[in-house]
Amino acid sequence: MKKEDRIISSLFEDARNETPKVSFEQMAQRLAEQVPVPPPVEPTGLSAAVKQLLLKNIGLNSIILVVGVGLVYYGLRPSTPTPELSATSQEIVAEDSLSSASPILPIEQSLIQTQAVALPSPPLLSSVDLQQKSKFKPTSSSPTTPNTNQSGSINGSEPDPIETDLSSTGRDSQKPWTDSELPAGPVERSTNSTSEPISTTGGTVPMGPQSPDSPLQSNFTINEEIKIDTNETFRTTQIVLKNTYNQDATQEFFTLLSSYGFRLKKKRYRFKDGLVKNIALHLTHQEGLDFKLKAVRFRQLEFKLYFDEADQLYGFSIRMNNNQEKEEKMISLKAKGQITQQYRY
Amino acid sequence: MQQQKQERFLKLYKGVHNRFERFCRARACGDMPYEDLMNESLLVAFQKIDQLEKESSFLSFLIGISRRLLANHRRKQKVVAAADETLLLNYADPDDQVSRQQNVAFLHKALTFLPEAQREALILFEITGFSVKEIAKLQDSSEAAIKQRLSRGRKGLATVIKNKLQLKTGDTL
Repeated sequence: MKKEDRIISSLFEDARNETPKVSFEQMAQRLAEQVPVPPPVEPTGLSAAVKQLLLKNIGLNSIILVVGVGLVYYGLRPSTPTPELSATSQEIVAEDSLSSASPILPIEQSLIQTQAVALPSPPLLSSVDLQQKSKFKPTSSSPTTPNTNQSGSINGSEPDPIETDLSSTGRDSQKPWTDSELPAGPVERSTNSTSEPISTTGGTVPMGPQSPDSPLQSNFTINEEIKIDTNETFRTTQIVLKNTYNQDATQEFFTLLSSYGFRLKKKRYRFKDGLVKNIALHLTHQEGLDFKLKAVRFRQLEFKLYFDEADQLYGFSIRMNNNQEKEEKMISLKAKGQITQQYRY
Repeated sequence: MQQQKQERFLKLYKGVHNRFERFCRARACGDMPYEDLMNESLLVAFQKIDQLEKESSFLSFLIGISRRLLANHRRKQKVVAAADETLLLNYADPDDQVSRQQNVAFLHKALTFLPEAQREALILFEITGFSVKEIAKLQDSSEAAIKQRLSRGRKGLATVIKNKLQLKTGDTL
């Protein structure tokens, strides 16, 4: 070994064996001095002022609360306006009733009535048809599916591509049933799938009764929202497919889409591990829609349907995974194009 | 809550105090007082103790903080590390029975002549007692690169010591 190597080894040996100049106790003491002990949290600034104000005005606050509750209660009651005042009163009631759980909104009733009077179009089904509609079952266990002619059951892991003509019953873009009955059909069905608690979007109204055993409660929701614009009154319907590993709910979803006049020329999807590995849809509509959707790895698919004053479907938008950041773009029923989405989980 | 956190921290720190102190003394030499570096590192580590995944890697956690603090300090000060020639002349031949402290100070000063990566690798390996694998993780390099650094660092250190001893004694080693 060279002399310098020996020196280096000796130096490092010395460095390793050297006693520390600063003891642990010293460092602990310094740390204890430097670390500030947080005082008990006292509300300061604006929050303290608000708290004080609230405490001071307990009586006033309770009065406001009582009045507010009363207003909300009376606002939520289904109103029976006089015909001459219906135009104005219905709008107010509709706005208030958005927060209620009432399945049928007064304005919807009026819209439906208006539509029934103004547009006695053939696609509107009779009450008997509506009853049948509410009982249709698109799953393989229910062969009587009046609005679908899908052949073959969709295997959960690898379904075969299915060519589907779901509008063969002659439906157009009009809703084939009334709003109150629309979700009742699919929701009333009970399957052996697992059930989870229902989730609804705030400010939207879940339509129709939903039995707790229904797979749709966990995987498939319909939310209706009424927007009142200064120029036009229109309605949107959200059809949300969640936790898409549920076959029945997925099937319901496509069935319901087809009932709005969409024709699924191509429908292929593959599930794995609780998400859709890939999906390919080719949506068409008799108004000229030719739209292809390809998506990979997602958990939630949401279709938002836009209805005009006459309750005619005139557009839709698609959102995946409840991506709020992405601005929704309405796609016209006459549009031609395609969307490709890819998500990573 | 705060008390519990402090107790836990001190319990962890007690086991690594000596090694951490040696690292700080060797590493901060020529840059900043090592007590300051220790203090600041401990304070930051205490605040971020929740981010510590494994208690066994507490020393690496501390050293990582020290490295970043030193880098920040250098960036602010913009001091070019210049070794103090006078201290080097105080080297005592290890054959003689001279105080260890003097030799250790000499080593620390000699290390300041090496490139940063080599210096740090040498300190971590020889003084703090880290393995090559641990150093590779700390320095975000491969083990082969660390071995290369250690080898070159030793050679560089030998050259430095050789030159400085020549400067002192006028003799060749």
